[in-house]
Amino acid sequence: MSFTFDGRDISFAPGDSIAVALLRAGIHPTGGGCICLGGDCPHCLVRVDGVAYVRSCQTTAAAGMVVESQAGDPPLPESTVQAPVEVRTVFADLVIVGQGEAGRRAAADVSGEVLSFDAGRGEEVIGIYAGPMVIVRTPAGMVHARCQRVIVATGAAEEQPICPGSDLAGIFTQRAAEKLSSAGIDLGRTVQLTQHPQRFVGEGHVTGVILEDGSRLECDSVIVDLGLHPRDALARMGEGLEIETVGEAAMPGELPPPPLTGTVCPCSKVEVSDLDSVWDRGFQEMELVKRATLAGTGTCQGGVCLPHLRSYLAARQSQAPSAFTARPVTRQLTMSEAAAGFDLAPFRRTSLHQEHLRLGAIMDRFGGWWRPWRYPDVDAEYRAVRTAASLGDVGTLGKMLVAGPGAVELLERLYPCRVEDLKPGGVRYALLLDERGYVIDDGLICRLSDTRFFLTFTSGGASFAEMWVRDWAETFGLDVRILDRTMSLGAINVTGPRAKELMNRLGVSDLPGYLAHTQADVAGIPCRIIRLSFTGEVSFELHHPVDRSVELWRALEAAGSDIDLYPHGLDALFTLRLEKGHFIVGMDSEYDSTPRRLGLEWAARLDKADFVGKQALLRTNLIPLNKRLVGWEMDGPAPVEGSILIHGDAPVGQVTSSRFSPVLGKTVMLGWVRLEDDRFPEEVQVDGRVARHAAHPFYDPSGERARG
Amino acid sequence: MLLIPSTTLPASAPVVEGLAGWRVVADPASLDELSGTLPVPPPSAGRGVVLRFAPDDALVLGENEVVVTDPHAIVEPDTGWVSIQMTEEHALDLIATHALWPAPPERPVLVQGMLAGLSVKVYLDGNQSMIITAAPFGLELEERLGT
Amino acid sequence: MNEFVESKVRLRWPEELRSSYDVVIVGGGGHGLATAYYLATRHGITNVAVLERGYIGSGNSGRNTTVIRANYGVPEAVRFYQHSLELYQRLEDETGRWIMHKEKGLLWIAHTEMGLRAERARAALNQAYGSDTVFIGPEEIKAICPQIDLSGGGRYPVLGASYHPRGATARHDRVVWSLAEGAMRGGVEVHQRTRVIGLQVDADRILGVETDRGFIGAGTVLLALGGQVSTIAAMAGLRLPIRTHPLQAFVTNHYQQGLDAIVASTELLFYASQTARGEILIGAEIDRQPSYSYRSSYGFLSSCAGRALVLLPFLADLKVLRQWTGVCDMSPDYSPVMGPTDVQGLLVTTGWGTWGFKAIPAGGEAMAALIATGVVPSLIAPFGLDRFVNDRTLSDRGSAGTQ
Ligand SMILES: Cc1cc2nc3c(=O)[nH]c(=O)nc-3n(C[C@H](O)[C@H](O)[C@H](O)COP(=O)(O)OP(=O)(O)OC[C@H]3O[C@@H](n4cnc5c(N)ncnc54)[C@H](O)[C@@H]3O)c2cc1C
Repeated sequence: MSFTFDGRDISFAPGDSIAVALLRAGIHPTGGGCICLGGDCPHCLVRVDGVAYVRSCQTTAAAGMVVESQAGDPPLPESTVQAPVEVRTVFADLVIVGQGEAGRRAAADVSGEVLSFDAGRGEEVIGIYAGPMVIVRTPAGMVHARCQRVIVATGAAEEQPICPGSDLAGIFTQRAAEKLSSAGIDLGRTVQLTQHPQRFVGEGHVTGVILEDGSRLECDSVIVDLGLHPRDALARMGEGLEIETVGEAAMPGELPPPPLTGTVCPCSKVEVSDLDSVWDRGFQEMELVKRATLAGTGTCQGGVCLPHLRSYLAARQSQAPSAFTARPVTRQLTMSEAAAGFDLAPFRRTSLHQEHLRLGAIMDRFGGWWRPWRYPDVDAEYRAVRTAASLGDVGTLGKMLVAGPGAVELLERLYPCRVEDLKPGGVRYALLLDERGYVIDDGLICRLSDTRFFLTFTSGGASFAEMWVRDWAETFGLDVRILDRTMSLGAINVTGPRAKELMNRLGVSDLPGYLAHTQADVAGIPCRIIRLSFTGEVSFELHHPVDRSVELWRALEAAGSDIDLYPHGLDALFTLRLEKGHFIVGMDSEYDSTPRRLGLEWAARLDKADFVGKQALLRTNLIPLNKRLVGWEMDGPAPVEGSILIHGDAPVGQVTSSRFSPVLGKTVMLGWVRLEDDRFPEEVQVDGRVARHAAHPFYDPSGERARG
Repeated sequence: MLLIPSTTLPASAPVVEGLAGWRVVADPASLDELSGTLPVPPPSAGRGVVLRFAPDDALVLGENEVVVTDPHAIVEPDTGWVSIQMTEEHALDLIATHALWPAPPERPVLVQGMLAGLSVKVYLDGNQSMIITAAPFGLELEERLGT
Repeated sequence: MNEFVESKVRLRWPEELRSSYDVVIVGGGGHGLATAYYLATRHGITNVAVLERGYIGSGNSGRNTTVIRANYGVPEAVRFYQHSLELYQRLEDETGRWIMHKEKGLLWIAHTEMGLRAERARAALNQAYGSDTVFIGPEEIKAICPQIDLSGGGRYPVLGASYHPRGATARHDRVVWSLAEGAMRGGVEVHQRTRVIGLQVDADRILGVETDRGFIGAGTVLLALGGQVSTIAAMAGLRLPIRTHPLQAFVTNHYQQGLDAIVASTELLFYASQTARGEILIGAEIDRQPSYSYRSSYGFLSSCAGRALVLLPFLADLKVLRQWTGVCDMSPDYSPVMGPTDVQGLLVTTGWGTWGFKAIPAGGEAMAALIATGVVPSLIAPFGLDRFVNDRTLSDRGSAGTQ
């Protein structure tokens, strides 16, 4: 069995880690540095099958692996094929990290469901998070272990030598040497050190040691046994959680002698002289020293250098500094391992999604939904609405039933318009304000009976609106029942001068008048028919059970096949509604849009009893207006939405919506304009052309067509 | 060593089907009456299943008519949900691989939470099970559980 | 030695804490230190103490993802941040210190028609107010950042972007240190390990601060406290419109340079860049739940990595090295709050949320001018606390890169 290392075949014994196999072949994985085989140092990092920063001592060798040495920073991959990573969430009373002696003892002592992990078995715990939740990288994938309690029994790491020559090959910790010898690897003539030497000597490979007293020993390998330091990063990371640390991981750990010369942090190549340099210039806190030198910020996250840094600082301060913050992760995982188990935000599809695709629509996402942006014949979309009849999928609108003795009062206190005087069968357009008097949504109020209402909200605002209505109902303590119907009801807008005809053809003779609604069967499908208009033409919104949407859509299509019926998507709808001057919440309005700024004072009845936002409006209405959303007209094609309004030389506002209006033969726009010298400019430059303020609706100002 | 069961699914990919029922929003007491004392009666009780989404909110499956005592109750036909039916074993495996919560031990039981990033309700009766989500998420549910 | 060892800055710590100063600045983050720096270097005001509860830069100024840009969405903000961006461009020359300032260009990628609309509008507004931002299409995006998957994993197609060529990064700690050094050199005292525990106010006028090392009198007190500001301001009876939310980030291990631009997505809400040291640095939106906790969450790491991989799949095999958390002073309109308060002599610089690193030079310069002259500089006048009373909020959520 073999793998390749930098192209060379390396055979290995079953159970060998990559590091052991390399050492068996006489190769130091990184060329030099004291080998610990405990996952604590950066001296065995290699690339395995293209993945850099793999600890070869923690990775079992497998046949066919492509292992490469990693000298210096590896290159960024150009592309990567993401292999799926399995992930499993498991639950236990107790998780024990580390199955050395202390960990095994802890496991024997407890009852309940216990899970244990050990890096020696390839299970690397990368972090302990609130929960507690223990995240483990295993050969079979990621494990997310949720538990009541964690015992950290991660043992201790062996101290690494800090002195000149510590980057030579042939230096091993005591435990590493034991592992190698039990793997049958001969280290040749060895010197055993229990104290820091002055230096190691050799070219690439150690050939001797000069001891503290200046004496020199010749050797093939050095075994260092300098002391142990608690492997407590996980314990420190979990501070404040239900965590107990046992065994060597819990021991205080004696500080090594202060390092005098040599490399303190092999990951970031920080020398003792670097520490001296920053210390002398005022960097005299653990964190400042770390940040000024980058010591402790490499792969081993202080595994090698932390005890030495503490000792360095202790020698210069009255007390030993505490360790620096233990931040996750303690063992590295790849980005795709981290991402395993994460799901991207879902997109919603309306019940007519397949119909739109069948009709060749280009779909776009809007407010969390897939919606038809355009159908193949863009001109026909617009033309159908203005001259014949058209269908629009408005199933994404927020929809809600509110019922109960407190329903009227709830809506009166929630909406800035009157509700009480709305008759059953009546429809009213309404803004929704927050406590600051800012417009957060708009929609319709349809009264069904004395105590029952059907409300609509914008597509993007629906889920917030549901929360909003429920919160206020509870705050006011009113006796109401609330049911969100957004995802249970589909809605099709039938619009155009021949919309009535279409409805008649489908058997509805008793159509609601403008601003009214009724319940009736359309093509045999129960619909709430709401008569209002966003497009400017006669429009019927048909709200119906989602499982009947396709049937209804097809019936409408069939009934209109001889009158140039064509569906319209969002793009056309934006032009149609702009010709009518209707603003869209979030597109034309801003966070601080009061009804006054939008030119919708009429929609907030300040003479009625208190409603959400009223107090704010009473106050801010006294402050001079500084900006407002108004209509603009200009000749020629529409400038980019977002274009700047220029007055004289100065920018005074920004276009929010702009479309060329085929029916008007000019461009119509909505745009914010700021107060300039105490007045709102009426004529501005947009895109180098003149645009004039114009009252909206631009199209059919009297609304005859919509009332039709 | 912790064993990770395979997440490979049976040969037939899951398919969402529409659910038709009654949605009832009513005062909790009248919903208690409707559903008996159990939050979810087993189907063997000889009548429809009352899936209690909240104290004042339930989806009733398998009944032609629903009557509650609350005079202000909202009782509406509801076809806005879809479900995937599967064996309980399969459902439990999906929960272990796609959810952050453990399946509760009681049966029958209705659990609500996120599964594969979608908000779902899982009904487990000890034998069959069904994963329910709102219709607009149906295809995503199929896609996410099918791979 | 690695090439990143700080080799020039000299920090001179004061021997003792005096019982009063003309100006006390609470908080040794970027904004507090920049104010001290400009007070000393521009106004000759040096009887100043900066009080820091930990070490300098221990707050958000040493935890951020170091993006410097001016591509904001309201005119007042574009002007302010553009000025700050320009001050940053000169900061190395001015201080003689290497802050690793590097212009990289920033791509803000749109995946929907609505996203395109927003980025086009951003470009138009930025140009009008003096900041360079252009709208570009997918091919240009690919030319700037070849690693981007234009299909967005089949789910988030790359349709266009606003490109801000002056977008830059700088090493956060070095910014803090060079400003601290400059302030110290001018005579300002910076006291670490000095925690403010109370504010003394008499008849609406500030008298000084209570610290864990005793009372310190001051005629002017500036709160530059990052996520801690509302609790301390409350000690003077002020209720600030600030909520503290954690913000997290993570880095991968070190790789050779290769990701040249700063890449951000409006819809996936993450941004990525490569540090001078070679780490890929990735951040995203704030935690929804307000909190003062510095504990990082796996949920963040997982979701942020997952979202970044949608656009930058070439990162899949990179090893995650470290994640961390800061706590951000979020304002309701996503714009900063700078200026006087109802308590005479007590000033605030806050509302820096997730965006205040880029503002350090301009914020400090303006606050120093305010302290020195008593007049609010016009550049920051729109950002006063009074805007919430006067209905003049400056909403810019779409530019904050968070939700
Ligand atoms: C993860 C993350 C990423 C970010 N990314 C960016 C980015 O890319 N670009 C950008 O422009 N901005 C970014 N930011 C925001 C930016 O970091 C902050 O807005 C900015 O650093 C704020 O500086 P400051 O001086 O106001 O606050 P801080 O740096 O937080 O300083 C406040 C100081 O006050 C001290 N303090 C607190 N309480 C007391 C007390 N009682 N007594 C004395 N001292 C006290 C703290 O210890 C701290 O040092 C990011 C923030 C985070 C957390």
